[in-house]
Amino acid sequence: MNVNKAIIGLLIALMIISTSLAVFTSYITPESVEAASYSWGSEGSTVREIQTKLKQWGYYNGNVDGKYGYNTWLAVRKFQEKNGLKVDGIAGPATLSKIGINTAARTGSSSGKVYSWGARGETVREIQRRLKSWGYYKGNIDGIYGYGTWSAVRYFQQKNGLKADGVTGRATLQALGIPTGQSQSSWERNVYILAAAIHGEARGEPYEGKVAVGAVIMNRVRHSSFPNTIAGVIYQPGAFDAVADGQINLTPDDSAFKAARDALNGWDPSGGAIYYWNPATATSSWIWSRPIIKQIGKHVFAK
Amino acid sequence: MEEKNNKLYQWKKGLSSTGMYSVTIIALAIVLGFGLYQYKQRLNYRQYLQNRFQESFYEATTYVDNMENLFTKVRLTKTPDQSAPLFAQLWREASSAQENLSELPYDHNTISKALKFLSQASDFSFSMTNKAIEGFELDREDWDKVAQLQKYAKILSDELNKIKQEINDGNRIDWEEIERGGEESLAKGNAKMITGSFSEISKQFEDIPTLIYDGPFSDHIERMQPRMTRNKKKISKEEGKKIVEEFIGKDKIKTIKQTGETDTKVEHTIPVYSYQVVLKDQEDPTISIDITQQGGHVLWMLNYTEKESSKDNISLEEARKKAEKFLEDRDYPNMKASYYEKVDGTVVINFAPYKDNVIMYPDLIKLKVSMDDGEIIGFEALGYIMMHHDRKLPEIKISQQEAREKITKDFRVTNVNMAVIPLESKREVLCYEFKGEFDSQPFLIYINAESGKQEKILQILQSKNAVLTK
Repeated sequence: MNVNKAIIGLLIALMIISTSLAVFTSYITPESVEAASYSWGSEGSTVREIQTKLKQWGYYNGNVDGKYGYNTWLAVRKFQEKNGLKVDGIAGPATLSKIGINTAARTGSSSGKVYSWGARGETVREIQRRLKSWGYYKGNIDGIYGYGTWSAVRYFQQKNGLKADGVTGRATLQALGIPTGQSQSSWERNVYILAAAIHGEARGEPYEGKVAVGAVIMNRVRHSSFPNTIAGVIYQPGAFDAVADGQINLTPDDSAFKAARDALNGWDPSGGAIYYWNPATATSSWIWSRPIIKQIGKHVFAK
Repeated sequence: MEEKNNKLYQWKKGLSSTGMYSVTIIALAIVLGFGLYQYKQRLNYRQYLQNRFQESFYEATTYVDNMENLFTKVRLTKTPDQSAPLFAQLWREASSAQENLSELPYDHNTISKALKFLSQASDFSFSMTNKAIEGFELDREDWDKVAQLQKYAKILSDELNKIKQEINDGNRIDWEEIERGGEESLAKGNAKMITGSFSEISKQFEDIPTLIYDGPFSDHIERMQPRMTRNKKKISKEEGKKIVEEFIGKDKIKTIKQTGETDTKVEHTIPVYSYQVVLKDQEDPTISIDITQQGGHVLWMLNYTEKESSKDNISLEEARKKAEKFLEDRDYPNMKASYYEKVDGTVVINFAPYKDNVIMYPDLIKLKVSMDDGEIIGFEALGYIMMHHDRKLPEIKISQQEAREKITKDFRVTNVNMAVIPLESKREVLCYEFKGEFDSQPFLIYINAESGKQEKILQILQSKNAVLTK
């Protein structure tokens, strides 16, 4: 009898835990929580930078190959241990800033602006938007820095190894992936959103393929049968998978930023394309009726 | 059987004897409550989304109705001063219609013809507004275009109103369904089929005549032939490889791989051979480069080597000199640097030919230079290949003094040049380029050297890292 009771109790407890887990995980998708953090399997220039630095300081003995494998993981752990950071082998914003790598948007110099209680405006709105999409913030996106925003910022800071004071300074803005640059040229302001689209759509593609995806967006802006702004093109319903499934909210990496700049500056590896698709996953049969210009990486580019 | 019953009985008894019933019920109630809450939330979001789409649709319909009406009125005008305000209104209405329509979740195939029509109607109206403001009468061709646009505005307006009528009759449009499966699935699933539909519209717009006028969305833009490659001999892939070798430097290259070639059946694109280059000290390809099949020109090149250091070891001046030398060595003589922007250890510099004291801005070449070692890591010549030719410049009819008088006295001129500039419609005009200051901000003002018309004002954005125009 007692055994039965214990089993029943356990079953019920399990049921409650699993349902509540199921409900809560639907709020926070693990992928979008990470604000520019690097871990097993990450690749690219930032990983290379981590390896270079850790090698200089004697934490890392492997090759500087830009691939986050076991040795890099171990080196990061060692570094975290020595520097009083959370020892998890993941190079998140706190670890990166300790290593001396600026995360996220590297646009221009810092303006030193600080947002706190009572602050208002577009940046506050952006802070709320990001915190909300990552599940830290539950209130309205009203552009007013009130208690809700303050406590969400604190929670975010705690989770990301920043000083948890609820005040959004440069470090927090950077961890949030909000550009802190000051004097931006007209197209520099569009770099972030374009980089985010490229990152969401073409993360695993060769560099040339990333620039080409950016170029397709630019070609659409100039094309009569598409919206006439970068944001309009990117957020047109059904236009991009990365927008539909929210991957556009991931923090773009360095390579995506570089590709976005090249695309804005006029480089167009796509040859003037206004469509592209992955032949392995494309579902629309109509798309194949478009005249194909060329293939770069996994994407086919077409007029 | 009996044993099973027995076990179930035991279990139930176990529950009741330990108060587990209430725990189970409470647990279930919590789960149910949460489920209901989630469901309610989903319905709310869904309704919100439906409302947004509905609003966009209604607004688009209103704007298109207004367009049809305004085009009719324009046809009733006689003089430019009568038509100018109507065209200005049309420009706005059509642009708003386009914006709202592009927010609807139709797949692009269904809706693109209508969007293109609206872009062109708006853009055409803007160019007509300008023409009218300058006092020119509309000519025969312009009136034909207005009539044609009115006809299609009417078709679009009728179809949209049919859909609207369906909605008013109680057939709600399920925008979510449209987004998921396109219009056809909606028709299949819905017995009361919506008669006026976007598929119908795109069918009606299939044979819409081309529209050519002085604006960026005019059909002539896409049909433009690149001047540097047309009627030029087609080169072989091997010859292309030689060109890559010469361009990058044979001594630096380990291997060149030809990776692709444009299908020449595709219209309105510049056919190229694509190559990837592995440099001597590298394992993987780090340079991509496209060579035009006609004439064998380098269309663009990108070197995406990851540089370890991001220190600036050279000055902007040195970077410019390196870029100039690079162009000279590759047979682009007399190129003059204009604007530049430095980001993350690289600088992008714009170049245009400078001939007989005139800058040819349409023939644009962009170079990307590494501030680390002055290497040229990017080359982009689409503007040059599209536009470069020996221009026969028009006769100058306005003196510099006359041109200066067209500009406000508050503008302090510091420098004057002659320049050929491209307008948005890619039409080229010969201008005086006045550089100067207003409100202690630098600007460029372009005055047409033939007509004295002010063609463009550009603001120069100056910072430590860049000189750009806006």
